[in-house]
Amino acid sequence: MNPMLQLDEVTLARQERVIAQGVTIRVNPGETVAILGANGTGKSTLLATMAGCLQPQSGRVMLAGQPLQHYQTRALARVRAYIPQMQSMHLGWRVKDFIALGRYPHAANDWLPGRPADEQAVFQAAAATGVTDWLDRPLQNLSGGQRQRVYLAQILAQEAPLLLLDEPTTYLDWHGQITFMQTLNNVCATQGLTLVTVLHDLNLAIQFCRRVIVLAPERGIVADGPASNVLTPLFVRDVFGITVHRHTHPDSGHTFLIPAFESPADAMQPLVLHQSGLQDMPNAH
Amino acid sequence: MFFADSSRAMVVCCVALVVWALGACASLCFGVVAIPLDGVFWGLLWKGLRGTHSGVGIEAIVWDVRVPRLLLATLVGAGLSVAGVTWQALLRNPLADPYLIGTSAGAALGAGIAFLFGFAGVFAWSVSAMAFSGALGATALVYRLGIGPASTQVTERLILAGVAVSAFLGAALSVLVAVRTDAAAPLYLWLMGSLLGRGWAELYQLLPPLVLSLAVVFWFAPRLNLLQLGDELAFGLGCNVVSTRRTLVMAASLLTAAVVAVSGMIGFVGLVVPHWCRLLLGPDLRVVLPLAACLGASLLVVADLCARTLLMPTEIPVGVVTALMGAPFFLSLLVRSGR
Repeated sequence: MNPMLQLDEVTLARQERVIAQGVTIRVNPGETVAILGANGTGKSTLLATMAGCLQPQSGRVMLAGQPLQHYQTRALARVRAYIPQMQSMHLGWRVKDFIALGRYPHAANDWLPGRPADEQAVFQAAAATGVTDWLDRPLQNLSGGQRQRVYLAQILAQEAPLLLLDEPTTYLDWHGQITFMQTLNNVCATQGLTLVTVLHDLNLAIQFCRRVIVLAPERGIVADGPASNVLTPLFVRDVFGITVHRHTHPDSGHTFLIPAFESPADAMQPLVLHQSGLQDMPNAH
Repeated sequence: MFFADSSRAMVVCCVALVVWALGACASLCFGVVAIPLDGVFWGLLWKGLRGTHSGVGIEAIVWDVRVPRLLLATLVGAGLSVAGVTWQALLRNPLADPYLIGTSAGAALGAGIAFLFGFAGVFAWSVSAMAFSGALGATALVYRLGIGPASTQVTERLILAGVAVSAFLGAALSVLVAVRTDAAAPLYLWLMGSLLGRGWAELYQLLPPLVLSLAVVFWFAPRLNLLQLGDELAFGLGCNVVSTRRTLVMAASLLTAAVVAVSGMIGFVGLVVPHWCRLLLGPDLRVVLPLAACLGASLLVVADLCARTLLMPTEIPVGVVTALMGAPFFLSLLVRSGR
């Protein structure tokens, strides 16, 4: 089987600055992969390189069996969809029209009303992400979580087999994070899509992604494998600098992690240092 | 693709066309020599359309002065508005207007050299040719210095380079004016933006670059739609960001340069009309661009009519009229959108 995405000995670089070397990854069709790591370890750079936004300094990126640079931009967008880290600027768009922008790579003529296939793709994407009720509303009337689902609908309308998402849950509240990941998971499972997403929340990664790739500063990829196997307390302490307890989720049977505090007092008063600092200041109260 | 339920756009477009038609009739009739809107007038129009008007008296006033000026106002208004929409989308900046990235400063310097050093009289088109070259030259310089090989923060770099180049060219023009103060009066009039004395020659000069650049901008409108979402998102959706931006910067610069060369600096149209259109119809440029062209054309025809007739027989520069009309209108939009 041809891998959906393959990186061979890639050197990741952003503006001439090398971020990681010797990156080799192989993602098969239908896999769901989370990229984890602390800030500044090159997660976004890795994802942008996979998307073709950034050129690797050396090495080779293959997409659906072809070298990335052989694709025309439009043809590339029919194979992979990419949501960079969110900036919410384009709020005047009506949800329906915004999702329809995802049809650009397929459109024969961008000035004409959509063909039936285009409209169907838009409505299907809206139904899959649960945004059908808001199709005629402007984006600015939606909450952050709802908007994020509209973005997802847009790239689903793109009908690309590979989805690349950069921190899709970052600005969402808890409800938004969970429902977004559930929607994403359902869509990928039912449509057989391949997913590579950057996440910060280790538990979301364990819960929703079969496989995790972990980046560490200066060291590049330090782990690549099933989430439950990779994210051991020892490993998390080594890479993220946090002591965690590992438990088993009563519903899913997956492991989940909770931060450990050295003593109960620390857990109760995480701001101890800060408070003692305040007391040193005159007129703090 | 887009959804074809744009009835609102059609309504706004029709209103704009009606305003244009009324303004056009008034422009042809009103003036120092008033022509009643009756059989004589229509006969006159018909004669000219067949190419058999005599070129003297009232026929000359209509066909050699008012008709070309009306057409020029239409095209200049449409061109400025489309250029404004394009720049605001390209630079993702609601404060952008066609003059932001050095075009106007370059045109002013070009026209300044023509006026101050006596080229203005050599050929009828000396001033506009110099202004056109100056505008294109300045924009090319801004693009080269601002973007160059850089791939990040492109819009910010373009704006900053535009501001710096504009400041430099403005200073250079001031030096020239200081040297030739005696010859500066026509330059000031030109800088204010006016269609006074423009005729068929300017119209023919404007037409080729205008048609070419409008065609490019409209053809690229779906790509510009994506580009205004941000470089990375646009690229993800299949838009070749670098070549699209390069093409559109060239087209918008050509458009602005062509318009500025024949009309001078007519302010506010390129800023107000795009905002107004987006407020009415949302951000989809496939709707906004045609509508901006219609609205801009109507607006400038009406503004030019006012410029000619309000203080008859003295003429106010049309750039002053657009600013006087545009600024309060823009502020009212601002106040209402804040509620």
